[in-house]
Amino acid sequence: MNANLSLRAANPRPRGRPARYGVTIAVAVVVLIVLIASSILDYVFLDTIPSRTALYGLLSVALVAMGTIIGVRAFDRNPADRRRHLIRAGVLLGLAVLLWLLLIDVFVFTGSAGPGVAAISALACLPTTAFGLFVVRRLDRNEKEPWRLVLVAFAWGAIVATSMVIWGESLWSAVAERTLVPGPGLDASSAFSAGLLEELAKGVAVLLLFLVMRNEFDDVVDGIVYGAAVGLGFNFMESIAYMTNLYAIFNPEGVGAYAAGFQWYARQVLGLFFGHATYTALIGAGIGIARQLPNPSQKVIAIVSGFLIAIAAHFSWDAWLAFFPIESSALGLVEIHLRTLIMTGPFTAAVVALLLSGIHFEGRALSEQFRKEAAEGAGAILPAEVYILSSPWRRLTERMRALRRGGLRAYFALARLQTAQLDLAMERWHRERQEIETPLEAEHELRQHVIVLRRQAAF
Amino acid sequence: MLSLIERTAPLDKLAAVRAAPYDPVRSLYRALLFFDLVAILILAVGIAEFLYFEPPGQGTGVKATIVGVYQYDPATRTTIGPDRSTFLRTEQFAAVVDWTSLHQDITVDARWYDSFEAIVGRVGPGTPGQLAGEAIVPVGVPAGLKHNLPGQYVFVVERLDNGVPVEVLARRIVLVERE
Repeated sequence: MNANLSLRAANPRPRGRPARYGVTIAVAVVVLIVLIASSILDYVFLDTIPSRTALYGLLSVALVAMGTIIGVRAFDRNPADRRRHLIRAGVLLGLAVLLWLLLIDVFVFTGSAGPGVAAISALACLPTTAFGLFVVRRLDRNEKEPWRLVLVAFAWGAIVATSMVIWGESLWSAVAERTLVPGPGLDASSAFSAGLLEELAKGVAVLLLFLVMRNEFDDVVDGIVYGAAVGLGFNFMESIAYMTNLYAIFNPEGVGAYAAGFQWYARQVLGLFFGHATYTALIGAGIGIARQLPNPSQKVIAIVSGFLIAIAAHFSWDAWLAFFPIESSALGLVEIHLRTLIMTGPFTAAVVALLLSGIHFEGRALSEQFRKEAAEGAGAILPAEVYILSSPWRRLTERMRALRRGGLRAYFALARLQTAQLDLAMERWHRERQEIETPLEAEHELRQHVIVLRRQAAF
Repeated sequence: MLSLIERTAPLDKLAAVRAAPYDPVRSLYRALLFFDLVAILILAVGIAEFLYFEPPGQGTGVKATIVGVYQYDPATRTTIGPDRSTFLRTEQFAAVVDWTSLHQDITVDARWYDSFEAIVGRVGPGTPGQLAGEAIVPVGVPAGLKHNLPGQYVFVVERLDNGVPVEVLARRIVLVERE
């Protein structure tokens, strides 16, 4: 049977590792080098206790090296336990790295106002950012991304990306301030610095997810979700940094809380979806579109385009903000909103347009796959289920009906079944488009999984 | 229709000839390319803006002399004490420029920028001769505030061309401490 399946497979099981893993390793090495350089520069040039803590960033590098050793050793162990060992080592080391970087970030970005103000700022930003993440994840109406990956994307934006850019931007700023004429030229230079460095640092996360987690990266919709999650993470840390810094600057004048509060509103309410979330979502859109393009050169163009659009969007905000001055009267309140709408609105509209097109396209493709699977009569999707599965709203209605009939257990049983059916349709769609590396056996396993879930749910 | 390619199949099988199936990903790709063109335009405008305010080839090699940055007494309009690089928020300070060190045929000004890049002190524009009586350039406390804002302050002596600063002739950076 396996021989027959192999013959039918659109993409037979590849020999060795896919070429994209090589790209992944190269990107990871660059990220690691940047982080090491950042740690050393922190230590050498900032003669303060917090910056000395940055030296411990090197410890995170050592932990990564240890993780590599453990990972290699895992292959000498019992193959049955290998996966478990690798996952444990990976999760623990990943957490260690993130925690150390977070520690450095907290010191570097919030040291100006003290831990109390930093904690209050973080607490103020948590609910709004959590709301943003919840909304972003719900954007994918057909197949929501796993929370673990959305949170990894968020953590990268908040911790890794901010660590990567801090020294690049500081160095750029120091050189520019000592060589350029202050004014619009210097503003343009700073805007190029922010656009280039911040978007590259954030976009790397989406690129790595695209390279490593291909099964959880289906199309433009997924790209936008991951990109926006990275952007929300970056915005979270940047909000805290600006709030604490401006509090420290204006507090002696008695308006510290007002300055911090204004930053919170501008970044966590007004700019929650309009700023970094939009920029990185544009990178995600480019990578998501590249995911489904057959031609390698077009893939590269799509990815580069996503980055270019994000850099331009970010640049335009930073460089031309001064052209929209805000009055200090009541009219200023209206002007702040109008400025955001005029300057970032068109880019957010572009993201929304790509998102809606992607959702529409994905929905139609999945409906077609539901019909084809039902027509094959394997029992994973029944003809009567096609109509229900084709609409997120009808799927929800059906789950609510199950809830009334059999309680929470029935609700979750049906939810698991619907998720598995959507996974199967998604697998079929990618296979039909010849954009999947997993062998046909994987699709067969998914089908069997659906059938088992159906039996468990007793439908 | 002319063709040099030898026909190998009869043309009576038109039913077998299909148009390439419509792929919505192509539409998304084309939309992305359109946004990409807009992005390139924005970045090109940005580069043009940078080049307008930072035109290449404007370096004349002329250097102005900043004598120093000192604590400033606004009542007597004089400087006090030695040249310093750091000040407290409550201290007022000013830069002293030696305008006589410059050629008389150029237009110059001097400005203080605070950490938000706002101009907080200025003399000029004019020729060095016209500015000879304004050697002291103090930093002004922003309206509505009691003291200077903390952060990095940049003092520049600039050469202007058609009213636009095109070259920095001298520069000093001082730090205003929070406490």
